[in-house]
Amino acid sequence: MMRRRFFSLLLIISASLVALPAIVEAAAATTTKETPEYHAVVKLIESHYHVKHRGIPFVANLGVKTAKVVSKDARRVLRFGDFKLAIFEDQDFSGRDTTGDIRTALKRTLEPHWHPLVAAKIEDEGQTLTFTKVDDDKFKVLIVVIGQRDATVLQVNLNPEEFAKLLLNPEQQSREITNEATSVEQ
Amino acid sequence: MRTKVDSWLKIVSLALALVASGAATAANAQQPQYAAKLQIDNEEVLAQRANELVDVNLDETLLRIIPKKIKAKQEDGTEVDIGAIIGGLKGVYVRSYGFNNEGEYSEANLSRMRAQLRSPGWVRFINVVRKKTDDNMHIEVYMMTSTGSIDGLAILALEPKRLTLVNIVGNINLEKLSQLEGQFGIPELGIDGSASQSDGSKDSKPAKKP
Repeated sequence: MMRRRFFSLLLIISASLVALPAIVEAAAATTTKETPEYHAVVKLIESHYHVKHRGIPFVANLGVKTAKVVSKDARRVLRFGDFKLAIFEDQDFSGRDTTGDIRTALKRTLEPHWHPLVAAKIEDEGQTLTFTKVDDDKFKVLIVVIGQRDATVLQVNLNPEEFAKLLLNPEQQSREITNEATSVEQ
Repeated sequence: MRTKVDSWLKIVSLALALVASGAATAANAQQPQYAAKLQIDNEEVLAQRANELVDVNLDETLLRIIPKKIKAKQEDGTEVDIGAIIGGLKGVYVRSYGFNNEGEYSEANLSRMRAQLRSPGWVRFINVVRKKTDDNMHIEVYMMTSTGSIDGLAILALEPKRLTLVNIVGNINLEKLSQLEGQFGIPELGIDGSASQSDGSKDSKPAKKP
């Protein structure tokens, strides 16, 4: 009886171990399917500048505010729905280009489904490129910030009020949204 | 046999081409074309040369999302009923290039835009030189009208180290033009659409070109 139970348990554990990678893969594929443009942009930045990013889980462990967004702060959850963030830290973004190349490449990747709302460049600070996509009642925003040594790719859904604010002041609001999403938790 | 396959291939290619052209036409048809919308998108040379750049594109679809009752704060803290001002707008497009040195842009960079502004319907109604602490700013404001209503505006602000192009498409109240400054990426240019037509500054001498 004992032996039978042991073998059943062993069978269940083995089956779970076999199925786990497939489940994880399927989950990742679903995420990629849901936000293909975000993943395409991250890949584009990686190949364009020869850099590697870090995604949310690792960053969240470091105490970055992304953890806050996905946890209990209701106000931020309201502000940022469907949060995706990739961070590139302490890597070289100065080599390849200044503005034109990456802007053109991003447009090629995202248009016609995404609308280029604002491109802003300040010497010594870097550039901010913001794209928007309106899907029924979803206001999607994709913000790419590229500095000399760091970069972020952020995709969020904004509520209508926040989206209107972004439209009124695209450059400043893009920076504020990115700062809020990436600043270190106090 | 081969001829048959070839002809089938031809038919399939033709069908695919037709579908593709149909899709492209449908995509173009989604965005209405307005006569007052200027082509200012191909200024990559300036964008590469500039050390500062602001490039804002708000089309009709996005402007419609902004609530009618929305208010915006201006630099002096006063609230502006921005929803009412943008009610008739079909697009706002801003290009602003800042340069390290004088002479990094020339009239040649403006030739395409000026050619569009010479087309029928466009009239220059403000041409002023504004004294600033360091440099002069030369502002030209053009308006497109048809059957008594305004269809759009174009603003050229030329400074020795900065060039700003603003294209507002749609019907706008000129008296409230200044209230759009500081919104949608439009810089503070000090334009007063109502006063400038009567204050004698109209068509004053242009600033020296960089």
